[in-house]
Amino acid sequence: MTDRSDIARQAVIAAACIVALVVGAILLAGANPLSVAIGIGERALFTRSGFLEAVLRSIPLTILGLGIALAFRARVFNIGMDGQLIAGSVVAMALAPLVPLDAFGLLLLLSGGIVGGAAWGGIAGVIKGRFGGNEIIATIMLNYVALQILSWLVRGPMQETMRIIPRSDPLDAALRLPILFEATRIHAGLLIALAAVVAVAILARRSRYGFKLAVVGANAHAARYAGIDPRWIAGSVLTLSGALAGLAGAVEITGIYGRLQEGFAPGFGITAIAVALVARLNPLLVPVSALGFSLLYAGLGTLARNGVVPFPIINILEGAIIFVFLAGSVYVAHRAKRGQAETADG
Amino acid sequence: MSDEGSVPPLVALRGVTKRFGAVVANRAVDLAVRPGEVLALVGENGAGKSTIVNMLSGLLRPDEGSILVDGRPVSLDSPAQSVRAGIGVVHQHFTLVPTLTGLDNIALAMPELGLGRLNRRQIGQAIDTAARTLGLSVDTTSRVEGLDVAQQQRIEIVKALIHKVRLLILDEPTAVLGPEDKAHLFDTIRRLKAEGTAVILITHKLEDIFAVADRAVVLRNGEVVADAPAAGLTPDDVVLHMVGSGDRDQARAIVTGETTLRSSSASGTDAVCRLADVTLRRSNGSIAVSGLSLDLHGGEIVAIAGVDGNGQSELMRVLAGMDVPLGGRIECLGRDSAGSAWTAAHLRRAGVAHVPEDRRRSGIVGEMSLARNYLLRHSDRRALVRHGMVRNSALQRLVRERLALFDVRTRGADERIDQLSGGNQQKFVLAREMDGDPRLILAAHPSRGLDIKTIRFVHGLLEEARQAGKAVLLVSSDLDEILRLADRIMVFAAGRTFGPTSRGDIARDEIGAWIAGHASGPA
Repeated sequence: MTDRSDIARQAVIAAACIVALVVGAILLAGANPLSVAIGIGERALFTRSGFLEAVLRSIPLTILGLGIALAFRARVFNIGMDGQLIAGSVVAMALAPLVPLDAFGLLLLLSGGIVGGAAWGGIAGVIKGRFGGNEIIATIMLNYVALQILSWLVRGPMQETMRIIPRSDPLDAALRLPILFEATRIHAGLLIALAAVVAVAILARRSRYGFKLAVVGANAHAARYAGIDPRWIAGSVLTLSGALAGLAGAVEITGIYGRLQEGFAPGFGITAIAVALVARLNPLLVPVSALGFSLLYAGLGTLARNGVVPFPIINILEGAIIFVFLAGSVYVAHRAKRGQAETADG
Repeated sequence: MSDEGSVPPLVALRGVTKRFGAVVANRAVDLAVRPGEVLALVGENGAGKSTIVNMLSGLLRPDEGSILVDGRPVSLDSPAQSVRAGIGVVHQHFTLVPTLTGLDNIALAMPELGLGRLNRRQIGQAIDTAARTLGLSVDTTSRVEGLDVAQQQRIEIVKALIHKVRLLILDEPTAVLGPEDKAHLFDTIRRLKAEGTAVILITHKLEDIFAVADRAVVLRNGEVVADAPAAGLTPDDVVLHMVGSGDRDQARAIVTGETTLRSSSASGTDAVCRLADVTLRRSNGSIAVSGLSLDLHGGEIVAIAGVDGNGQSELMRVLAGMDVPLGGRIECLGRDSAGSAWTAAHLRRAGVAHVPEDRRRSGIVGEMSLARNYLLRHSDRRALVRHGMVRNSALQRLVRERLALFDVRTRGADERIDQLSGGNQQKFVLAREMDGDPRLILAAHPSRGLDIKTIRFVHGLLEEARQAGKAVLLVSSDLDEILRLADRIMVFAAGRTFGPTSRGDIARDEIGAWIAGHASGPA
C-alpha cells in the first residue's frame, strides 16, 4: 500500500517539476506565463475558428486513439501509427485514378486506406506474432520506412504532373469527403470517427474478440491455458490497429488535403498514445480526450503564429502538458486503487 | 489463554478486530506465542488466518486492539517495521523473482542492498551459515524458476531467517510438499524451536498439528474458538471446532473421509488417452520423465504420486496442449501429439478440462469478474456467444446458477474473482471445468491449500466425474488423497516412473518407498 501512494506522490512531484521548468522557459523567453495560459484558453475555447480547428484536428486523433486503445488493452504497444497512417493514405491515393468518380469511389478510397494501414500494421503483427519480435521496435522502425517511401513517392512516381513541388496531383472533387457545415472545414470524417468510436466500443466491450484482448492483457498465461493464443491476438490486434490508422490517413487525405504530401499528420501517432492513455483506454472517452488535446494544440498554434513566444517553446509546452496529464491520470488511478484495496484484500 | 504465565509472550494480539467493508475478518482475536513455542493456527478457508499473518507482517493494520512485542504495544505499519520487530514470514504464495538466482533473491531482502553494494561472496557465506544451522541444503546458484517448490520454499525460509528473526510465520508450508520434504521442514522447525525461535504454523492438515505443534489455536469466522495444548487434542476435536458442528459423528466422517461412491471397474473400455514411450522435458531443458506409457480410460481415476518437480507438472502441461512431448507419442480424444492440432484450444474443444496447479497464474484472471472468468473456458459455446458477441444476460444467469450449485461464497457473478478466498476460487474453477461435458479431467493438486470441508467437496466432484464415465488424471503430493480416490496409481520419482498399478494391489508403505525413489517397482 505504501508503494502505491509513493507512486502517486512521485507523479505529482514530477508534474510539478515539469510545470516549473516550463514556466521558467516562458519567463526566459520574455513572456508572461499567465498571459500565455490565458491566451491558449481564450483562443481555443472562445473563438469560433479556434474551436473549429480543434474539432477538425480531433477527427484523426480520435480514430488513431481508438487504434491505440484497442491494442493497449492486450498490452500491445503500437508506436507505429504514423507509418500505418502514411501507408493508408498512400494506398488511398494510388487507387484514386482507378475508381469511379462518385460516392462509391470515395468508399473504395477509404477502404483502400484501411487495407493499406492494416497491411503495414500486419507486418509488425507478423514480426510479433510469428517470430516473437518486439512490437515497439518493429512499429517504430516501420515508421521510418513509411516516411521514406512517402518522401520518394511524392518526388517520383506519384509526383504532380507539373513536377515542381513534392506532392501529388489533387483528388477529384467527387472523391473528397463532403463538408458538413457551411463555411467550415468540418468534413464527413467526423461521422466516420464517431462511427468508429461506436464500432470499437462494441468490439472492445461486448465481443468475444474484445474479451480475448482483455484476457491476454490481464494474464497471458491464463489465456494460453484457456486456448487463446496471445501471439495470434497480438498479431491480429496490430493489424486492426493499423487498419484504423490507415482509415485516419485516408480521411485526412480525402477530407482536408485532397492530395498526398509530406508531413501532413505530424506526430499524430504519438499524440494518439497520449489521447488513448488519458481516455484510460475507454473507446467512449477517446473522442473527448482527442478534442481536449486538439483544443490545446489550437491554442498553442495561435500563440506561436502571433509571436507571443518563440516556436520551440510551443513544442516544450505540448510535451509538458501531455506529461502533466499522464502524471495526473496515474495519480488518480492509484488513488482509486487504494480506495479499493481498503475495502478488499483479505 | 493457556497456562504457564511465567514466560512472557514474545508476540501477542490483544482484542484485535479487522474489517473489510462489512465483512469482519477477525473479531476480538487474542493470541500469544512464547519463545521456543510452535503454535499451529488452523481454520477453514476464510476463517481469518491470512488476515492475522498480514497484520503481523505489516501489510494490514488492525482496526481495533493492539499487537504486543515483548509486552509492549507496537504499530507494524510496514513490512520493514515487522522485520525490525523480529517477525519473519514465509508466505503461502512465494514472493521470489523467478528469473533471479536463489542468492540474488535472498540478497533482495538484505538491508545492505540499500547502500548499492552487492557482495555476493559475503551474502553466500551468510546464507550458508543460516542454512547450516537449520540443516537445510539450498541451491542458491540456479535460477529460481528452474527449482521445484520444496527448494523454492527453503530459499524463502532462509530469506526470512537472514534477518534476526524471533518469530517465524509459515503460511501453509506443507501444502506443496511431499512426505520427505515435509519431514525435513518439521526438522527445521524443531531446530528453530530449540534455538528459542517462536514459530506460527498455519496449516489445513491435521497431522501437521500433531507432528510439530505445541499448541493449537482454531479460528472460525474470524474468532478464536479453541486454544489448547496439542497434546490434549484429538483430530476430531480440531475438526469439531473448525466446522463448528456439534455432531461428533459428522466431524469424524469428515476426518476419515467416508464416501458413499466407490470405484467402478473401468477396464475394457477404450482408452480416452494413450501415452506411448513419452519423454518430457522441463522448461530448463533437462529431462523430467522418460519412457512413460499409460492409458487413461473413462470411468477411472488415475493418480500420479510423488514429490513435486519430478515431471508431474510437465505431464499436465503436455496433456493440456501447452507443450509437445520431447519423445514418444500421445493420442488423446482423436488428437495426436505429432500433429499440428496439439494445442490448448484444440484439446479443450475435444473435451479436455484442466484444473491447473497454479490457479492464480494459469486458471483465472484475477482482475476480471466471475462471469468473465467463466467465459474464459466457454467462449465457444453458442449459448454464451453468438455472432462473436457475448450474451451477457445468458452468461450472468448461467454463472449465478453454477455459483449456487457449487456453493461458491460470493456477492455475485460480477464480483472480481480475486476478492474471493482461495477455497472459493478453487470451487469456481472446478465448477467451470466440470461444465461442458469434458471427457478427460486433468486435476493438478485440486485440494491443495483448501480446508477440510472443501476438500471433501472436491473429492466428491472427482468421484462423481468417474461415476459419469469420465477419465480423471489426478496429480497430488498428498498420499492420503491419492489412496482415497485413485483406481490406479503411478509414481514419478527422480526421473523414473513406477506403475501404474491397481489401488488394491499396493500397500501404502510400498508407494512411500517408490516416492522415495528406492525399491524396484514393477515399472
